[in-house]
Amino acid sequence: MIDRSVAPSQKEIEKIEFAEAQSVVFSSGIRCHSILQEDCKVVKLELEFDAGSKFQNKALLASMVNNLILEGSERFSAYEIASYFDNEGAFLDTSCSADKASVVLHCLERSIPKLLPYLQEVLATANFPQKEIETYLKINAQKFEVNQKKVGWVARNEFMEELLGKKHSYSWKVEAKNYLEVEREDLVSFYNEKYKSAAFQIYLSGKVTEDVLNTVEEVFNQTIIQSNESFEKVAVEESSTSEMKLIEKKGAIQSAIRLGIVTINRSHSDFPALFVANTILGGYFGSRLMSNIREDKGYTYGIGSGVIHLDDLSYFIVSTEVGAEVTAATLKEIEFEMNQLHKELVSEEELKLVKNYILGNIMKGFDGSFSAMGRFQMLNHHGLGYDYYENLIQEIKEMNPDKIQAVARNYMDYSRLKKIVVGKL
Amino acid sequence: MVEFKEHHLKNGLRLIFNEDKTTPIVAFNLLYDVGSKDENENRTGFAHLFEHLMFGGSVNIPSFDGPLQTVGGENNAFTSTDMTNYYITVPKNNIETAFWLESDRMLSLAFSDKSLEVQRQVVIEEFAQRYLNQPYGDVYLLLRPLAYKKHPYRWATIGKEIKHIETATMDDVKAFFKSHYYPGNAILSISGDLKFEDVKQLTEKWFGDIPSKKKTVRSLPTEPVQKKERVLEVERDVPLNALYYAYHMPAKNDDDYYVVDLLSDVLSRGDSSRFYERLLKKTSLFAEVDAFVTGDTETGLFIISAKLSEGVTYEEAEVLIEHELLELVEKGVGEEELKKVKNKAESTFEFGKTSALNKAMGLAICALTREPDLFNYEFKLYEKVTAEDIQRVAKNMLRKENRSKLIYKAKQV
Repeated sequence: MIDRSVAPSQKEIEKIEFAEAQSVVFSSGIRCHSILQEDCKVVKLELEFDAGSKFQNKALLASMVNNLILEGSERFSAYEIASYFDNEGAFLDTSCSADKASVVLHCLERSIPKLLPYLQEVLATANFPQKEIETYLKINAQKFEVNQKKVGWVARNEFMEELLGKKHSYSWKVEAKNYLEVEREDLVSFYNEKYKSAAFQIYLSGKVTEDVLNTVEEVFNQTIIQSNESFEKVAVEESSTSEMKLIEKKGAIQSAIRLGIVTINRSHSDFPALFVANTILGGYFGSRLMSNIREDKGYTYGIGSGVIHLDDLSYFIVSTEVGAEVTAATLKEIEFEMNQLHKELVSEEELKLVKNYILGNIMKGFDGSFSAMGRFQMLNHHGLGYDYYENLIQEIKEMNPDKIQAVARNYMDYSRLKKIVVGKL
Repeated sequence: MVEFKEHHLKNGLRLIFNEDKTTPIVAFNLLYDVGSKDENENRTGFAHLFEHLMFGGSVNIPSFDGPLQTVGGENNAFTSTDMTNYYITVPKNNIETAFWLESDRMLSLAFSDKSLEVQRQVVIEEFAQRYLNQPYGDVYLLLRPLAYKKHPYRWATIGKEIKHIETATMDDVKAFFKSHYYPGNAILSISGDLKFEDVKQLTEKWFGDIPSKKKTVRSLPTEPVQKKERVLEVERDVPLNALYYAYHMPAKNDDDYYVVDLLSDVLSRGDSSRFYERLLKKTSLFAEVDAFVTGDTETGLFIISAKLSEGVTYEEAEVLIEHELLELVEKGVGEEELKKVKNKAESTFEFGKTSALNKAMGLAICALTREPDLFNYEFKLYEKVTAEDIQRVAKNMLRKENRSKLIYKAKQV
């Protein structure tokens, strides 16, 4: 009989194999990164532009250009464009963050020669038909009304302004009136500057054969790149207040809570320790916040904390949705758990668990070319190389309780967090 | 082709293994053949509550998550009308930890009172977060009992009402475990860079001595054929009027299931689909309009959902939607349009094979529905659908008498 109370012997994670991206620079200056995965028939191609919301001078602009770029070009209507990709069984999507905007194609490898020249033409000659703009605004203004009823959405929408002050380029929030303010000229000029004549980067994963690479170069190396206007960074508004912002929602069954503070980036020497400290606090399912507030008290379906890295700054955030009547009690527990990290050293046992969890997670991030490309993209955004992971892994293996306590004291101070509650307090 | 091997244990556990040499991670998926359809109508939401309790410690191991995280692993689970599925990803050199943990909780749970009290509360918060505190969150709590009168699909997986969760007792929990958690009611599916012989040996070592139990034959009430249209009207604090149609459709083991799935794609998959182009873009009478299948194993629902732009009447909206449905019934689909949705099904299938977890989960679910190899030939079931099939099935399904209609009105302020 086996003794089931004894765990099987554990093997240390010694080494993590990285599937590294190959990067080339085309003669036009466009950079193309690829990771080949032999055993599949599909390709993911992402074209990434420096066209996120921080570059806009009007709310909604960046995301609207990104969304509408496939909704009409000089030769093709929105319907023709959609049909062209749908007919090949391909998926064409757009995405827009604070820093970047992307057009992403998922398709069978065999469709590449047919789809890429067409995609290039559409992107180079997008013409933003008035009718499509109106439809977009109408539909999205209505979706906005629906989102206003979701406490989590409202908290997200408000959070960056609370964190960074009204003027910061990351502080855009959406208001109902914004849907009346965007004009076609705004879109066209943003497009001309940020897409049409700007350098972009290409990320390829999946069945990226030589032929695929050649086609990509042939098709996308035609863009004429003009010098990009430099982007002026705005300083974070210094405010000493950490008063709670409460947005009351009558009849809310749950409250959304968001707490945060600007913090250090991935290149800072304290970062590995902060990464581990955050994981302990709220970065995984077994974290202290989850164990206490979900698994012990049952206040919430989920709670987490994280360190988010934008291109120009990083921030620490705690977020959850909790039963409205336990909103205040939850805040107390979050404060308690953050203080615990200051007061008491983390036990060796908990630290070992978290170290291994993180290492397993990093390994999982390199499972398959699609995930591995996601990891590379992150490195690329922050100007880091694969040695970032080698160092991080080494630092995590050597992490000790004292270092964690020190970073918790420096960077995780509850009293300094900006706080938002949407719902009831 | 996703190659796989099978092995059946004496106690009834079924093992499926796919060797994937390209990944450092092993996906370990354990599926139990129990869903909310197996619940007593006065104890709904139980299969899902039970899923939560499976993380509250087992007979020999006080914590499930801790030991797994210690070896670099991660896990999660979901419950649907038809199944409860637990999955783990773990670095391959620590795969035995997954066997140890999953086999112990199949053997028996710790059944701690504290765990029941807390998970009861967590599930109540989940109910609130996902179904009550979201605009339109209660649609399926309303639509299911309208469409089904006898079959247990008439309640949603989360349960009919919070009260059933609030009043669950430890005896209920134990009884549920005894009836549904045993080797013969489970499918273990693994994908990763391992050898079949080793996997077999580990499975025998950890699961082999769990007592077997005869698999009970499920006898669910059949849903009587619907004879006339059902309509329910409600008013909620939401910004836009919404409209839902639910039609009974074929079960997953019927090839016509795939016909309906393609039919829903013709209507609303992608920006060149009929609903998107003709209703959403051309008329601007809708803020959203979709068609999809619920994907249930037994006879499920084909659903049309729409949010109406402000000022648009239900009559206007319904005329347009019905016009599209009628066109399917009378004219069917063109060859090119059909080819288009089949191509989508093919690329979805190809993308589905690119991760170990997708493969392990897909093989297990296919084994439950028909057989594991369905994972490989499912796209051929799409491939063989003809334009005549679509028209025939549309004609049969898209009848008013087969429909339940939910009018979900925005409260006037």
